[in-house]
Amino acid sequence: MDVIVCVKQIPDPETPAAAFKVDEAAMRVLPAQGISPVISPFDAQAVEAALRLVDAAGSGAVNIISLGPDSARDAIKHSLAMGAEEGYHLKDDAFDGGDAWTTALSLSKAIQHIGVPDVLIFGRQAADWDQGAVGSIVAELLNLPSATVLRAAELSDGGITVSRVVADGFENVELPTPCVLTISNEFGDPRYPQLRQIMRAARKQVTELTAADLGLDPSEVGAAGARVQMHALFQPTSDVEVEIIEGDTPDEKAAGLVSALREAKIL
Amino acid sequence: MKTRQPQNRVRRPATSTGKRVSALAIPAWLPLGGILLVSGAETVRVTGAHRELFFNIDHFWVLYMLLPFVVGIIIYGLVRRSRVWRLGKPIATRETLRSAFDDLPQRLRRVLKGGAGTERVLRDPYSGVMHLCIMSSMIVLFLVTALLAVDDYIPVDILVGPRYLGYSLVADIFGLIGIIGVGMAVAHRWVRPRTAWLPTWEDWLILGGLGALLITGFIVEGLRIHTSEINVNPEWSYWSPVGYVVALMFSGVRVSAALDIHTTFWWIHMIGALAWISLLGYSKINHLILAPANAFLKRTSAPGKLDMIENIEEQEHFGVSQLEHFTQKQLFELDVCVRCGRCTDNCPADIAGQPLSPMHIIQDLKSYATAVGERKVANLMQGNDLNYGLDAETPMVGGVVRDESLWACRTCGACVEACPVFIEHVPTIVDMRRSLVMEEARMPDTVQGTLETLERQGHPWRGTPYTRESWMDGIEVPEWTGEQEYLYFVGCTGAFVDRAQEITRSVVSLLREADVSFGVMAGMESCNGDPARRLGHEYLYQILAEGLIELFNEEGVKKIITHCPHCFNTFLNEYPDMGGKYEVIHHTQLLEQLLNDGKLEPRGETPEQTVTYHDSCYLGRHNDIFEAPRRILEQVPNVTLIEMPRNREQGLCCGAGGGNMWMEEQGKSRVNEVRVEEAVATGADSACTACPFCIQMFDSGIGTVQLDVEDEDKLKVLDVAELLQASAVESE
Repeated sequence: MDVIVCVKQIPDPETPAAAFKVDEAAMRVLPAQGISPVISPFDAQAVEAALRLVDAAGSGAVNIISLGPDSARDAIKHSLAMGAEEGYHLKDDAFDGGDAWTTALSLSKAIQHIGVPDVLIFGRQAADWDQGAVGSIVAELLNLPSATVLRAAELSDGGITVSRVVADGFENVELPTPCVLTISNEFGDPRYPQLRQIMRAARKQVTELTAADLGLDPSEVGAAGARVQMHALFQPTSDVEVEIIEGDTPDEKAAGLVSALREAKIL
Repeated sequence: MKTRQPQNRVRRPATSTGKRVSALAIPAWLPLGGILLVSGAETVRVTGAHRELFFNIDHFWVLYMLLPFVVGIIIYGLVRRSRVWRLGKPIATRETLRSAFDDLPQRLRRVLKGGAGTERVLRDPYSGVMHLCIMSSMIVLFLVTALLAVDDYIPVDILVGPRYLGYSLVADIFGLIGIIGVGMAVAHRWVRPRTAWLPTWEDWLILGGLGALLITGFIVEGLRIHTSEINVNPEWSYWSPVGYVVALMFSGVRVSAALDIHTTFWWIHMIGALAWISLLGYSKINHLILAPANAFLKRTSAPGKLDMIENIEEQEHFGVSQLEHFTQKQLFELDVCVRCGRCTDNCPADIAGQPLSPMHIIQDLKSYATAVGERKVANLMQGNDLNYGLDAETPMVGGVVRDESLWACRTCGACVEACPVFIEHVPTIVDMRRSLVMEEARMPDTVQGTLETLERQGHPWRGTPYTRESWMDGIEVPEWTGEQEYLYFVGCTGAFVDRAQEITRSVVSLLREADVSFGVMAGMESCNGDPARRLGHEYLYQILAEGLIELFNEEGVKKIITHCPHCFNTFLNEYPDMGGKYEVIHHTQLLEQLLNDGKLEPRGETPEQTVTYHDSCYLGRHNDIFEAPRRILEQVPNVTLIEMPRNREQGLCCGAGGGNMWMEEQGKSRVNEVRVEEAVATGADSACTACPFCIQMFDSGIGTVQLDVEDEDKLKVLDVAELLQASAVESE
């Protein structure tokens, strides 16, 4: 069983709020000082899911694709260190400023370029913009069945049995292969790479692909091909008002709290 | 006609160590000298007193024939063990030999004081006395026997008259002392067993054997006195008081029968003694050779230092998962352990009922080295692959030694400090952690989170809302320019943890008050790698350390102040291995110096209070800084210093060391709560320490230990700098 996982390098979601800054004029997030970008946590879980499926199948390989600037290479290397075989880096100035549509288009071309695998896996969403659209668009573009926001995925006869996280419980679905899956955090923690694998990954070549390699015209990708227009980017300010509920006994304080909450129409 | 008291003659092979001879210098000469003096005064009545060599014994030459045989058996046992030790990585490299030679005086002092002088055994009065009894008895009885042999084979008679009688008295007294020692050792195992102590067949064989030897010795002596001396020269026999009493007990036995019994017991005693001594090659009594050897082999570097994995990118394995990954010295150490349990008794994890006993780690590894190590040796000798046929064996790491035991270690060094035979448990434990983390990537989630945060953000405080500059808000802090004398390295905890930020601000305020030339790097700092290293991720440590050393060198840093003992230990003891050599000073050392120089004057009125000082392991035990913080506290007005029962070298860890700051504790209770209870029990108003981790551990411990205590009556927890600042810096 061969699997391709698409991963994204993002600003560390653990960045303290005080270090998070945006350039409102350029509508860009400024990289925080001393904090390296990381692979999106959902994507690391997607790699974990892929590795487990291939392990269970007993043969095959997990390959990685990432679209992004130079730093995306680290997300690929991290995935290789976890146990993936080959890495493909879609790197081209033409990709800059794209949206979910152009990213999905570029990825789908890359997947066709490499060869459509048995299973394609994404994180449920990239933990920076949290749109959660790329996986589903790729499925449409490649005309493949898909199941999103999964907490489990296992091999079954001739296909994959998955468990989706839905609003009021779990939905178990069976899909034929090839198919597209997106993995949610309920899947569990990704493995911590063994040092030997980290060193092996460090020595591995990552294949770089440009828009031209994929037969894409620069007008189709990046800012030129984007279908979403951003109008403003800013950090919302929030005011916190603190009211201490006075009272001599816990009962009085509780009563005071209840009436304050009622006043604020929360209760 | 000369006789000898033969009971200890055959102990000779067992006593050819430095341990016994030099120990004699300490405990044994006093009684010996005294008795010789007394006997000197008794010259008149006892002229001519002596006894016969091999009284009543035929074929005594058999004994001489057996002696080389016994020596051979002992040597065979030790050589067989040494093959297992040699599975390890060689320790006798050119570099280690040179360093051993450089430290020779220090090593020899340790052999004398700690090995022969049994310094650490004596810390516990009961077992110290017990050990001293057995040891001094064996030394004296050996010398007594040797003296008799010498006397027998030289033309001049030394042991005649009063000298003989004094000699006989000494032998009897030390025989009795030996029996007392054995009795205490037996009682120790029945009446007063230590934590996690398991007397085994080995204990009973050694103690029972020794006791039987001493008793049969007295029986033989008593029978000799009964049959030869008591009727002819009764005043001589008073000088063998124990033998005399035994002789009286046999007084009803006919002389001819007594002579037969004498012969039987003499042979039982002799053969038994030879057999007992053979155990030297096969049981823990080998410690009388191995313990002084280990006292010599123990590193002379700071005890908390970890050894570097050189050329880590080219290693075939990381850390220790197989016996052969240990060094020869680490394997040797396993055999030195006598199962005394002091390490476990002093281990904070064990004290708190958590799943770690350093003694059992060493003992379990020792059993594994016996079972599997000897098979590996056999494989080597038969030209097989080292691990041939061993696939089905329980894995060493994770099986023989459980993961949770390795993770529960605080690397506090209490075990190493307590070990009377100088075993270094901590590097052995960390080596196995290295394998867990780097080889298998198997670790608690909290450890993984900490390591990931270190990798990505350069600090271990996942989820902190602060940046490295947050603590500077609203105060004036000199930035590092390269011109100042000191770099004040704030460290991750001092920047990212709100309680520790207060300490950082206190230190800055004191340094400014004293006009110290210093600067801080703030945003340019990163973790020095200590948490990664203690958690077993040597590779990450080296990456972080390389980065920081590069920064320090670029910035022209020569002297570093730290308020964190962990940063301090790493910069001082571990960075030199990576080429980073700096003058490192802990804030308590510097503040004491500033007080002595009059640059800081405690003048403000601090309230009347009693303070107990908690030693941070990495400041105290690992770096020998016990007095500087105490002397600072003594200079703060109205402060009375009181000590907890466990202090200085015996101080108890707060629970955070070895990366446990970031782990969930497993077990009956938490280490910090145990320690806070000890601090509260002193009745002190405040607990002072000099480590930002200890402060946090105390604060959280107080929350549970003093749950029902009113806030204003709770134990206050302060860094030494904070208490000093209150009196030495006028608030702005």
